[in-house]
Amino acid sequence: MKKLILSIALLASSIAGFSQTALYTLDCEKFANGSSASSANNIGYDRAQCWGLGSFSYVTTPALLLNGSYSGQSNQASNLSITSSWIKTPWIKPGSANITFKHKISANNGTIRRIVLSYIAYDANAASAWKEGTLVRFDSVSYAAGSLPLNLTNVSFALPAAIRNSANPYKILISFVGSGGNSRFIVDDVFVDGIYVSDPSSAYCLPVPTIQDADSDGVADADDAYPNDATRAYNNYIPSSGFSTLMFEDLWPTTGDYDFNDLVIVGRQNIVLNAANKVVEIKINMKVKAIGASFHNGFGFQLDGVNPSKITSVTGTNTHNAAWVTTSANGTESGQTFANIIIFDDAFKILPSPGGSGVNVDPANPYATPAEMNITISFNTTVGEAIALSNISFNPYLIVNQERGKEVHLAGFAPTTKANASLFGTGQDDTNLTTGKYYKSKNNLPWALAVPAEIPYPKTKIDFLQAYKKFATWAESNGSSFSDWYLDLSDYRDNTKLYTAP
Amino acid sequence: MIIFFTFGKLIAIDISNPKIMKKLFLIALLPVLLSSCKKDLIEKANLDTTQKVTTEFKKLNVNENFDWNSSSMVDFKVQGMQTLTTINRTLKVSSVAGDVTYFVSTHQMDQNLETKISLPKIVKSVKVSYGTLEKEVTLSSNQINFNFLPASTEE
Repeated sequence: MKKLILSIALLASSIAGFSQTALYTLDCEKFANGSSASSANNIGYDRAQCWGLGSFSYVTTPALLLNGSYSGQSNQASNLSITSSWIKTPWIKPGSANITFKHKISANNGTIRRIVLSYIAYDANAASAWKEGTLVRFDSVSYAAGSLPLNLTNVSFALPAAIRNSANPYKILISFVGSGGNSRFIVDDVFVDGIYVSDPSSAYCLPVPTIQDADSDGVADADDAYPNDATRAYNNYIPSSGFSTLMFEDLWPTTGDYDFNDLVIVGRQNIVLNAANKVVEIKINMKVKAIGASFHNGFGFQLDGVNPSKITSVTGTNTHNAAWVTTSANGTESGQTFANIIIFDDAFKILPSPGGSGVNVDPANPYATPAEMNITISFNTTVGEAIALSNISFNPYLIVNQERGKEVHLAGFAPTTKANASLFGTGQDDTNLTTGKYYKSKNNLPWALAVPAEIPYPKTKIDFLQAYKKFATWAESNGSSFSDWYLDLSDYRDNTKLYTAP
Repeated sequence: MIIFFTFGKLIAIDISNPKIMKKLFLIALLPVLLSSCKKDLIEKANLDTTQKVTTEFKKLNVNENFDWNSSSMVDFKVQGMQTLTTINRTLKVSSVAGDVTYFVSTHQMDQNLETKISLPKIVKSVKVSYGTLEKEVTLSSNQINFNFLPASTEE
């Protein structure tokens, strides 16, 4: 019979749908993981757990302590207002046991010293953000001058019948009041019987809400970018808004004219996570905007450190059977240590020239609408195979004029397995695989630039420094000045040097 | 003869004496000369800051360790805090104004987190939100450190 009753109780608890955790005793000793015990850290921890501690502090003075290394201390109890100094529990569903705590008065002075107990009902319609409803006083204890409790004294108060074992949330308010003198209440080991229902992730510690979650993936619909798709939950965009801009010089390993328009691409990656924070897919929206070159360059990127086997499929690339493009069944380039995606093998087949030299770099030539591409890379999300957002690091590169081994990366980014290592250190290149100096010239200049915004690029043969007037100061100050050089601010650009679409 | 009061004493100067007049003239000229020197120094300093801007890319003088990227991978560290019940909420890093989201994922409140976020280098502060908790965090040593302890000194 006892087993049957226990089973029914467990079933009822399970149906209720929340864990039954009792409110802990306020002993002033707890502190957050990773921090250390101190008056500030300990009271911060209790506040973070939704205890209200108004005009109340934690002390370590040995003569004042009631138990352990920390005790609570009220303000000088010379004010009869119940909001002058107080302890307030988190929202709880009250139990039935008595409220108990230790206390004493810090010094033998004061006309009256009194502890007042009240309860506060939850009121979802209350105007206050804390949603506290009616306050009801239900008990108190008073001390007069000459009979102040100067030594540890235990007190016990019965929970009022009106809230005992209630299914509704309440707070218990313990106020420390009085008149005359400057002595304070010292308090410790405050026990209030109840089930904890406050939400510490709520700015006002409101009761744990009922979360709407249509796909039952554990992410609230309000936060879920895919509320009806349990396999997806969050979008993480790079850049966070708009597009980023990639600009290449393609004469590597020799230097060029530094107009950085031999290939100009703008793009935005969306790294989609599931509710377990694993990468489900990467969606790339990009546009090829300009080709200031005669070379038929390709473009791709490596996901540094990501094994190609983590990817299940790639769609949206646009290659035209160039002999050097070899892909595996999952769409990644074969023969690579890390996952490489060849987006296109010839820029001119993506953005054909409408006439004249290059595309969209000389205002005298016809304009071509930038070519948009949408690439989706899907990932294995099975346990043990799935990867996290922190594992994603894009390493884009240009492939020079159909020569697979001739890659041009951003400065400081490593070549892929298929880069021709014999080219390193030739021409003006000073790449050193041993020291980790990648794609910088002998005077430390790059062959590619990336900017976390969509910016215009120089017209053909216009030196980048002519167009972006703060760039030189940024670079030569080692980044300490004008880190916003690419923004369209007063005197930052010479628009006459920049290509603009007609 | 000129008589004036200075340093608490009455002083009389014979302006008919040429030697005294020459000295007086030099003293009067001194502030003008000093002011002129000062102006020269200021102009020189201004020239120094404007003349050094390099105008050809190939002539840039750049430190060999200079990071050419305008974005960087920033360490985002969350100090978990033990809770009485399991709390899973959305953790978000956004611009202080809240209009641009840099990072979003789910997070269990009692867990620590260390990850990396791509941020434009011009971003110096971010807003971190969890549930309805919000804190503005200033980047320090390329790190965003967040914990759940309230900034409030009262409730």
